Amino acid sequence: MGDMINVGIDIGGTFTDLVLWDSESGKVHRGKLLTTPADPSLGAIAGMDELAAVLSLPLQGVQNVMHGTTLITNTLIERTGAKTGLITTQGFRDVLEIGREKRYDIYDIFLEMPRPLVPRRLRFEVSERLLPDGTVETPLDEDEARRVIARLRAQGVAAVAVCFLHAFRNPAHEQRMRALLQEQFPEAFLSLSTEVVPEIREYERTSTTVANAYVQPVMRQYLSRLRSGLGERGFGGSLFVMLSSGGIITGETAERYPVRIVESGPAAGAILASTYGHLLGHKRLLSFDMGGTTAKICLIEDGRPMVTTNFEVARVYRFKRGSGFPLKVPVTEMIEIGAGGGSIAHIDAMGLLQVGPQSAGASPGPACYSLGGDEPTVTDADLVLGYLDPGHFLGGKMALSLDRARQAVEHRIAAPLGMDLTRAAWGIHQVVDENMANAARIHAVERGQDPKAYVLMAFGGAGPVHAWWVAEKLGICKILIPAASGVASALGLLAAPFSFDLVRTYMARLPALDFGHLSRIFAEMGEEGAALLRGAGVPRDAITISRSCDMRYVDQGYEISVPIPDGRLTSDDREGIRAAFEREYERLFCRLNPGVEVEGLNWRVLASGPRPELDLTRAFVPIGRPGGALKGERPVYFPEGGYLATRVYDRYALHPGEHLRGPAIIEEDESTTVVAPGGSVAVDEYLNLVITP
Amino acid sequence: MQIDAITLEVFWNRLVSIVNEQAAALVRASFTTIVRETEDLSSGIFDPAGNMLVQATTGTPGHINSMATGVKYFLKKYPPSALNPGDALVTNDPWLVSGHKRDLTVVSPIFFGGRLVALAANTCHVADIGGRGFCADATTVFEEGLHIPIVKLFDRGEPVRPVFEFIESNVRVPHLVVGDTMAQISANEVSGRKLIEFLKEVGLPDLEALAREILTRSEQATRRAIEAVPDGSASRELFVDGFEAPLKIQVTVTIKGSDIYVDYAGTSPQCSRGINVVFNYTHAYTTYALKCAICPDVPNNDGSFRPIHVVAPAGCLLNATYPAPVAGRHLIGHFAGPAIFGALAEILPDRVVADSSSLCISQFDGETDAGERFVNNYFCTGGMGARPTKDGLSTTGFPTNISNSPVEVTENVSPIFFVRKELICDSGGPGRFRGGLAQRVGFRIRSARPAAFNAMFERTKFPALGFRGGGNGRLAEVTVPTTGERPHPKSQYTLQPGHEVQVDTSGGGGFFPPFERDPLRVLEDVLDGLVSVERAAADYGVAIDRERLEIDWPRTRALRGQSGS
Repeated sequence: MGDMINVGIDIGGTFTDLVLWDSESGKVHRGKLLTTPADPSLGAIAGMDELAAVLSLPLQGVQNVMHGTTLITNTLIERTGAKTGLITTQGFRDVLEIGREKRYDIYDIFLEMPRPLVPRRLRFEVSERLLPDGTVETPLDEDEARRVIARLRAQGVAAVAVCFLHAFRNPAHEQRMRALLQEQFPEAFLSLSTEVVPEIREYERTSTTVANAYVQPVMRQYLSRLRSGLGERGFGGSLFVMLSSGGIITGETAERYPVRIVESGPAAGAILASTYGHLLGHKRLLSFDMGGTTAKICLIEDGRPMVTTNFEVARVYRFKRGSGFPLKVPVTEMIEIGAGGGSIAHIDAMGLLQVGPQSAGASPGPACYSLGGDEPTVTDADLVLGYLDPGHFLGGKMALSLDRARQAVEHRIAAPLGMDLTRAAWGIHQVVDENMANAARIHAVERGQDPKAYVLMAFGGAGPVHAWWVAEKLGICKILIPAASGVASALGLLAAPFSFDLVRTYMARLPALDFGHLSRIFAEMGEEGAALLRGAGVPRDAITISRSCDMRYVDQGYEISVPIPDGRLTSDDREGIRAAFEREYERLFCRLNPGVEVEGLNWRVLASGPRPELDLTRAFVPIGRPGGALKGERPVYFPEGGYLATRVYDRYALHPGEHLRGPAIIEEDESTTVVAPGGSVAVDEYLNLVITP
Repeated sequence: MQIDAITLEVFWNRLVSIVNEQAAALVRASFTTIVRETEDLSSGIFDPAGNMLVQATTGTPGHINSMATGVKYFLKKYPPSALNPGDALVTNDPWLVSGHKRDLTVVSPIFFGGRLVALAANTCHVADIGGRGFCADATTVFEEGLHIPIVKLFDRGEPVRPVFEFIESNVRVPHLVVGDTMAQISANEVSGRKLIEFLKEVGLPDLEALAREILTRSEQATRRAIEAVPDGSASRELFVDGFEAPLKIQVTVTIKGSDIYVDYAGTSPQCSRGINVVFNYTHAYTTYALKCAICPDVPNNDGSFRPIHVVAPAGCLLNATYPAPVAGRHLIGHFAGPAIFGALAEILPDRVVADSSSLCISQFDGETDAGERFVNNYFCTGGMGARPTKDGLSTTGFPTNISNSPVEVTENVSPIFFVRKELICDSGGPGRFRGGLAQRVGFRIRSARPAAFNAMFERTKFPALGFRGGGNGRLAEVTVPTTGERPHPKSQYTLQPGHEVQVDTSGGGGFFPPFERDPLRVLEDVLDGLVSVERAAADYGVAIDRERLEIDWPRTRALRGQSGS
């Protein structure tokens, strides 16, 4: 591809991270600055300016900007989206508010449900009705539709969502609605359920479509600011956006489906993990990203993160499943655990030690920040145990108070539980590790996987501090701490392939499957996906299409994903599809249901381009000479022997091929790696730390 | 072995995750909307003495807490010496577990090192169990379908064929019933496997030390929470529609030290139709309501039940004796919740919920145009009562906890056609905090053949009452608008092709006087069509200008009797 300069910009809640990769030198340059929440594009552009200044590089030289952002998630959480209207089938405008009628917590009588994004006064009905097979029961009443549009317009909505019952089987009425809207209300942003998420279950589909409409104007405005800001500085390349599924797509497509980018930052972190997995030949990686308030765990199989379409956003209670809006869009499958460095330890009604999900955040922060916090956090425990150096936090930019950390752990945990300070601090550490390991185990096991078979890749501020013990609890025998652990998501943006997921619902029992129809819908989806990728500059012959189907036994309600062969399908494929279903089913549920027919539901296509050429061998350059990384020694707690004199190394001075033995502490600006006695560390050619017991 | 607080927390989290996996496997492998969409189920792990240690975080109180007391009966019949690896026991005896024959409970022993270390159990509602179908019409339990005593369903890993044959030949939709039973077995197998892995990994020979610690601590935590409530005694009586005539539920709650005594003396005698409640089920909803009010954060297990003592006179509506009909036991059993909250309102006024709607079940039993039999159980909820600091949730089950089945899913698996599913204006009880709203659901059958519609509705005569000055919720109602008929809310009705049966659930009660509600919140409700302009004035004393949709403050002050207008 010749000389190329690509920039990854990941805008997170606190920091905006930038990474610039120059294909000629093979070097990666990093940038980090505070996010500008009022207009996040300002921070991104300032970061670009900074990088350009440091490298004396004009922005004309940059070909591609890959972008990940929390903008959409924040818009949904803070409810700062557009005034949105909803049009539904007659009799069903309350689907959005009635939801699934279930309480997500059985015992909490004070629980609350998320308020619908579209209030009832902006939800309108029109006469039309389809049957479950897509045939028309009541034709669309166009006069009524026009009256409804006039009312929405009069109400001053900026975006309109349309969701009709069974429309995923026949989009005709929704499409007609769009034509009427474009004619009568052309300035409104529009989201049709059949385009956003053509899948069964009306509440989830409506919720997703409404969320898409709600954030569309925000996304459009944001991207145009970013484009013009970059353009003013001479940037003439292309702007791409990371999808929650881990694919990259053009800014234009992201504007149509903004709801698909809710998790773009975390997805990019998982993509970086899969890139290293690919480079190093690890088929199975467990990526473990532990930051200040949460940890995220993701399984990577065959170099690709798992993707789910069961996602929730804007939860009333952040870690309670069911307390948010469902979004049925492809999202990198991750579990989020309410335990990070800032998570607070406390004693519950049972007299048991709990950590999180409450977090001290950045303010007042852990007790050791001396910013007024007096509750013990994970960071405080890590400091007491000697894992963190009070003088080297954030590369020494912030001094920590060991005394305050000790007091907090002593008063709040050790004294009430009648144990000594060290036991209490270790207890906090241990509960967090166990929470992570438990979550990872369930996540793996639910997918029929054994966590022992994985390599643990740990990053984020607190990930490398806890990785050793999380791995131990999971029976994992190899840990990888990547070289760019502080800007993993931004680097991941540069490693993501172009890709887009498509889906069509076609319910049919296996014996009755119309293979002609099936081949047609696959061809359609393939074309649509390929067109989007070609629009992003991927040559036709570099596009791969992979197919799958959500299948189940007839009358079941949950599907399992079954791979479907390429090419034109004929009735000869029937038995192969059945066999693939049975293999997967038996793996998950221990037994088959002989004599029960199998059916297909959602037929999916993933169109993807090649993995970008991102050569990381020369990305980072160590300082000094090999053997010069030892900084000193300090006492560090390990359950095997109490406080042990432990060597402390400078991560940036470690060279490829060096070996260290545990106990050891390896410090870098954004994180610290802890290795227990008996562990050994090898520095690989990419400057990753490879830790084994 | 001594287990300290930290190790216990670690082990405890693991048990919770194992039992959640068990529930997830059951939902995902299920064949019916009632299990997989509605989640009318429970799952738990028990110690070898039959004490519940841990339950899944999903499920209904009626299933969880009655299973908690029911597993001991399995062990009475099949003591550990009579159990082998690969066995699975089953029953649907209403008096032993969850109060009607429509729930199958499957219990699987878990062996480790050649010894019984635990039991995995789950209960779920089956699509059909024969008899009259899911309705309250029966006059004895014999008419309510197949009775399955505690028997082995699997014996050393092999299905006991005759048991399956009995089940298959007694139910209307055998493939769904057997499919779900297999899902129940799978779910227990999944958790059995995980539990053994756990024991191996942590080096425990069994769960004994862990169980003792969990149960003791749960009991202690519950006792501490009860001690924090002042001693005292309070009663409530409330009335329910019943089948033919209204019935009374009376309860007295006494708090004394770290114990709670609940007595249902004064409750009406059991009746002739299938709305009687077995004691297990009464106990389940009683402990549930007390837990919500007093110690919601303590794990729900055998230890946390120990300080709670429930009695109901034998032969009363809430402790019905064999062979009373019981199919619709939830219709009355759920009222243990409001009864308890009503009594507690005097003792713990800031920890109660005003009266809530009752769960409404519509069962359809018919044939498609092609002559294929279908049975579908459709659940819908009304409004939850208001809380002392918040409005009640609209269309949310309380005290039960179930999901709806999506309209699109139900229409795909049956010829049921939904005409509407919408909130009912003015159905929430007025109050400073408003009761949750009810919903109206209209059904037709897309078949040229008539279908049986079995209604199971309460609160058509006695509304959910408001607390402390709050107003009452709207009544439930079943109508056929095209003919003007009003089918009996607890009996079978034949729905003719082309006609719509319309069911209105009931609304939740309000909390505190409605004149205390912020007029701006009343305006919001009016703008959203949740409260009408008329009721805003009449119930809330808030006058709203119909044209400009604004509050008419002088008139509002006049209505509210405030000076200064």
